[in-house]
Amino acid sequence: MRYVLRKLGFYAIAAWLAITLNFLLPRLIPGDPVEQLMARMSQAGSVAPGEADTLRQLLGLGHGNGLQQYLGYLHQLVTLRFGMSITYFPVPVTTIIGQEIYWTVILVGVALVISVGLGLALGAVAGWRRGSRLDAGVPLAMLFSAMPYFWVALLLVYVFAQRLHLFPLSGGYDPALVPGWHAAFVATAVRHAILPAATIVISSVGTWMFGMRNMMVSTLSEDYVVAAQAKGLRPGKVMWGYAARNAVIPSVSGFAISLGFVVSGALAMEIVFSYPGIGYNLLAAVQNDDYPLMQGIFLVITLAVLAANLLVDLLHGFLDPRTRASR
Amino acid sequence: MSGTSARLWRAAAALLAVGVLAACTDSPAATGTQGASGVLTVTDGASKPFVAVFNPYSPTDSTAAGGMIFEPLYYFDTVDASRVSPWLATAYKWSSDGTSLTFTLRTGVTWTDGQPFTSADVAFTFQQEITNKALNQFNLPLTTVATPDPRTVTLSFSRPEYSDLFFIAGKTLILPKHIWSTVSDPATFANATPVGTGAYEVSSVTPEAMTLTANPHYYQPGMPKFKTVRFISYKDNNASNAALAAGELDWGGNYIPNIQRNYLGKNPNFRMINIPLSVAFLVPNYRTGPTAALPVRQAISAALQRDFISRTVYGGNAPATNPMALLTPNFSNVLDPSLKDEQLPAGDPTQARNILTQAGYKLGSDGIFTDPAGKPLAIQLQVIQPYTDYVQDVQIAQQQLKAAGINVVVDAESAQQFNNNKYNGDFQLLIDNYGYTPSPYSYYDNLLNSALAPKPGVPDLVGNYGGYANSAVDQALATIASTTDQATQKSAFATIEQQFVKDMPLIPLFEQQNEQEFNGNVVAGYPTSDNRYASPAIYMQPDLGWVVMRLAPAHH
Repeated sequence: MRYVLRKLGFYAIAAWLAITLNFLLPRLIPGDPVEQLMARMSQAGSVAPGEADTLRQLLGLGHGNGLQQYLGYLHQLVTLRFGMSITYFPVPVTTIIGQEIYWTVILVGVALVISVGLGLALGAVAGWRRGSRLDAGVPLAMLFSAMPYFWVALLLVYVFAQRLHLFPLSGGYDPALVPGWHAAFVATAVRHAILPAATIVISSVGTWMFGMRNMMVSTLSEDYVVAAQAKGLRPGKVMWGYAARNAVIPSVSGFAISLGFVVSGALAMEIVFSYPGIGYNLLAAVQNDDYPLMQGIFLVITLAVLAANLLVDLLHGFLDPRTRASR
Repeated sequence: MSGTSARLWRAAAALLAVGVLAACTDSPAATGTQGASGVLTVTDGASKPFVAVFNPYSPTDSTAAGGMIFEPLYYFDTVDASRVSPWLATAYKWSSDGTSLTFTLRTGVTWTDGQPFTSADVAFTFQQEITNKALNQFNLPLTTVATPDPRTVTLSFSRPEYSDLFFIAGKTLILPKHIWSTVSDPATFANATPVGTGAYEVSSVTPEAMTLTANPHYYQPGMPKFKTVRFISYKDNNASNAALAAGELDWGGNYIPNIQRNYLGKNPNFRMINIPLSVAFLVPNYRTGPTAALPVRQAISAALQRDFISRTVYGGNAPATNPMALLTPNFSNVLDPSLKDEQLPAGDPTQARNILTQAGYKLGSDGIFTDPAGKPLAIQLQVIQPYTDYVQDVQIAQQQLKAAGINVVVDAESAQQFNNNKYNGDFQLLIDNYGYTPSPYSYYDNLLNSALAPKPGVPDLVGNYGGYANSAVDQALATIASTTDQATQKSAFATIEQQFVKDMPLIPLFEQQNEQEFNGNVVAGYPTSDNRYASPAIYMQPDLGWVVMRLAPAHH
């Protein structure tokens, strides 16, 4: 219990630090939102002298000094009111995040699970059958991981969408449809999701496979594996029940942390496929000096990563008593 | 048994009903849209998901709101400054001192909810700007608004307002009083289901697509012609370029590299229209640093081979401009006849070196000049990193200037850093473009008015970032703003143009390309170089609305 409390205390401090950084970092970007808005407006019709001051009033910017703004920000967090986005003025930040996060969580989350599942299974088999043809495939999978991720995406678009016309070029769904839980929409959403998901899987499966394969190899030389084989257990039982089960432990924490980062989206994929998601909105928020939206997204990412870490910490405490004992 | 089958029956009946309804809406007899038909799919270059915000006061408001949904009183033609056409108003008249302006409104206009459009709506729109400063977008010195009758509105100002006519009549969008008077805070009102006078109504907004349908009761006979206009959002130009090339988009405003091969060659009916709306410049700091010296600016201009840059980077689609940086034929009505044959230098390093030598600069053994004080001539040139065409421009310019003995250091930076430096006057030289206005006064005022220049600690977000100051130009601008007499205005414009050539406060490069792609298989009736009835730029408000209602489905 003391262990859990101490962990929770540590996470509370980490959360406070992260939240404070979320406040400070956006303000280190040069300029302010009005400058970015005016720069854009001057390219779509002339701007009038005095327009900037009116905008500042309209957006309700520039109230109070830094400390007052910080206290206001903490108050917003506690009351769960993040204010209005500037990029999408006057839409509340929560609406924007709510609208985009489903796409990210579903697509990136499912792709991660597929990638991890596939990578670990293939890695286990490759490690079990060292020197086999599958084992020779590990460097190939690593090659895909080493390739620039957006380039893999562009390649997929070129081959499967532009040349073969098997999949749509871009977007998350048929623009003629209104999103909702009906068959036509789900079908188009799935069709649009295949290439983006494939990008994520192709470019990340190698890393999981490589790690698992190597852990598998070192686990296989452990005495208890030799003992199990000597007992005459079936190879499948030894492979999955004895070797893979222990080899997978380091990957579990890697998986949990990746799970936390799922909510930050997959920027390159979103850009190449014009796919809905959080990553691009964060980029847009940064480019527009949109402090409220940036803070909202950072907060979601921070909390998700912290929660994933906490989960792993606690799980490890139960799974592996050695990590629990500090004395 | 009965539970399941009853549910099945109900579902079947519902499906049937939906089918019948769909059939009804599809049949031409049921549409009241004066024969409007077809779907026009476009991208306005919006790179973020759509949100249902149709609030003209919001700076990030959807492009469609200005022109397609809400309309101004007049249309000012960005490609021809001499042309001003009636939109919601049919006539306007200034008082003799220019402090009051009376509009006569069009009759027979209704809001899309059926209410009549009257002078009360126009008065309400301007009155709102008086009572709530945050809504006074264009900083108009309004004092009172009067409505002598339902067709007449008189606006009064605290000073002569001739020069702001474009902002008053051409940019201010008229809102329905019966809706907006009940809104508690107009600044933060999303207005997701807008009621306007425009040719289109909002049908649906999803993050990826915004769909508008024709207003069946629109007051212009035979308009609009397309029943549905769908805007698609792309996060990246590569994606929208691919969609254009695949024929999935019928109108886009993308700059497509090697457009012949990547777009025009894909289909015999694909068209590209290029009507420039702005001029690209090297903007020098006029007050401090190496570019404050006229011979340096002249030498830079003399050394640049602009045509080479246009051909290399834009495939020749960035046409030459003139030393006055006056867009033609857009602003030809104010062109000083004595300057009409003036041309920018063709680009000759020897000529540039001569200018510097005569001004007392010395060519060093390293091939770079030193100024009369002995300091090497090195100029920092700022450019926005993601604007890849500008980055290419300045890299070529860097080599051309090096040949003339001027060392240019290119500083590619984020848009935020660039804008911040620009607005604070914190630069030596930067590349940017100005224009996008139907008002030559507004154009020169933004570029040259000394009152706008950034002051220490007071950034300037409108123009004249280099800090140009010339009392003759200020005086001429004031003259133009104080009269409607065209002869007086023309002679003042001539003064500005002559001073511009003499002082070279900015170094004009070329007219900024404005490539617009149209899929001729689907759409007809768009502006062309032969029929420049409006700006075909899809990102311009309210020009977009003026053009969209004139576009027609193509017949083959």
